[in-house]
Amino acid sequence: MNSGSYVGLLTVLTVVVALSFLASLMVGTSGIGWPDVQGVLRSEADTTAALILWELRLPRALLGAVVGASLALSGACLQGFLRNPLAEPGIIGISSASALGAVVAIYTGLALLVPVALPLLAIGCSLLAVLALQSLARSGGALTLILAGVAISSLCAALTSLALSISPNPFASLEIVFWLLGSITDRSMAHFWLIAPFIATGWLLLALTARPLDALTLGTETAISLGVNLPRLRMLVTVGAACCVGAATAVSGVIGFVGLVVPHLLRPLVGYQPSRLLPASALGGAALLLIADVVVRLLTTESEIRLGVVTALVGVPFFFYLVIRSRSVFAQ
Amino acid sequence: MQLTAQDMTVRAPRRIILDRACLTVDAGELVGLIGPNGAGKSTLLRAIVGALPRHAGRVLLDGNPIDAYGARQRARALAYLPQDRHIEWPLPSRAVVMLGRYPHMRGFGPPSDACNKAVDRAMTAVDAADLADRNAAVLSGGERTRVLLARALAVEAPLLLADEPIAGLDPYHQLHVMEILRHAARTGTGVLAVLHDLTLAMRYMDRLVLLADGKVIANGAPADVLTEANLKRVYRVAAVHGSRDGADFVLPWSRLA
Repeated sequence: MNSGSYVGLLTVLTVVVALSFLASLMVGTSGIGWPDVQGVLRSEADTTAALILWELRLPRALLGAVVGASLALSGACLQGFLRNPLAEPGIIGISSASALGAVVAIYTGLALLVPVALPLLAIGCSLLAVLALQSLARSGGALTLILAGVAISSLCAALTSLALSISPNPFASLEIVFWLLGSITDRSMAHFWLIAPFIATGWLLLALTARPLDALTLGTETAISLGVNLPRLRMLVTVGAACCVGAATAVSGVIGFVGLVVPHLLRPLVGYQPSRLLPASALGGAALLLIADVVVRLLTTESEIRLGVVTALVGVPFFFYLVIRSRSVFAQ
Repeated sequence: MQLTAQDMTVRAPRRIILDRACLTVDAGELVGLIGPNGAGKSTLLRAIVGALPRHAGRVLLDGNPIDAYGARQRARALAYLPQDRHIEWPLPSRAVVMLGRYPHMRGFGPPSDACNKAVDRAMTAVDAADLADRNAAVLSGGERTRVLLARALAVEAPLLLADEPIAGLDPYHQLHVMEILRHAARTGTGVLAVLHDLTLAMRYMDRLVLLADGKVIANGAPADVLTEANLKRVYRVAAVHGSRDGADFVLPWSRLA
């Protein structure tokens, strides 16, 4: 894997992201073609097309790109840090913890009162989940990590169900249930700006982990002897992943398996180097979620299939495949 | 560069693992750290490198306390080959060796010419140049050890600590690794290696440090350390002493009660 083909890969991925972003702007129930997009870009007139583009399609496309990139980047980072290809925000319980935080914010009305409480509570809960996970699965292998994730997921799901079942308003509950399924439909630019600072912080922190993750390939002792500050690295991964997953989940609900599928597909293409996997995964995640969201719009008419349902349907067989392949690891 | 470890003490909840252990390694010296299982050899190496906290003691590099060094500076002075030979991702061997340049690199971007040359030198030193493009995760034991040793050599640190570098290798590769260590020492590196093979320790090492129950029992020329009395007391074995081609050797022969 030389640097040239790596730059080539990043270029191809960037082009795919750009194209799927454009597709996301143009595909939908009301047909908006390339001329419309051009027209709006030249800010000609206050047409319906402009309204749809600015108020509906653009936030949706932006959120698709940003949420996909954040989830895949977090997955790649967690996998590198825990040295475990199964570490995915959804599987190991970080997403459900974020969802719990978001549900609490929505349920109590706090999110209406102070909008920023939504991402903050989601991030806070995901932070707790990552910390719990790291202390539970510190020295264990893949199995310990997955079991810890199952425990955290179950606890968060139970608490979310509790909130729903004692809700006095059945319609609010229904809304939360649908929200939990994961979607980026009907979001506004306000949603995007609400999470943008947290996402940017998360990306920055995770970007700083790139080279230390390479050194970690040979184990913690070698990494320390090479000058890696392990407590600092743990802090960067923990807070970075919590910011990314918490903020993403706060506006889009639970969208699982992006962090599993994308790094896994790209790993051989970057020569298995953890640092190179990070930018590639971010681009790949953005492309995957944008494309999945376009497909969702193309497939359905009356009521849309939720994005989180699609990524789960694609991701679960993948997970099965990885589990079967790592059975020898589990058997130990 | 001279390495000095003074009064190194590491405690576990119920026992003392290292009890005021002292040793020095001079530039160009090949020092063997020997002792029975559980004597504290690996712990001493880890404590020197900083992979394990020490409860008392000092580590000095040319007389300067290592704690005053930054992490990168320390990493450039001390290369360490741990016992753990696991390579997590199926990286090409050359990328594994390049990890040794970590303390010399900053920021992103491709490795510099100097780094590439250091990696070439290290891979040549261990006869692993032909393994460069091979997947490091599926190498044989001997190949893997050589690649990981090249990773440690690629740091180009004045001091090299190796934890059981010949464990699990066949005789050919054991001799090969010992020659690599000796060559590193002859070119100026101070080498400290944990060994279990007393025969090879006797033949190759300039000096031996014998550790038992966390304490340094003996420290000196191999023939002065691997005496009948020490072997009996510390290892509980009797050994055959002999010589071949003018070199003395020792061969553990029978257990003592």
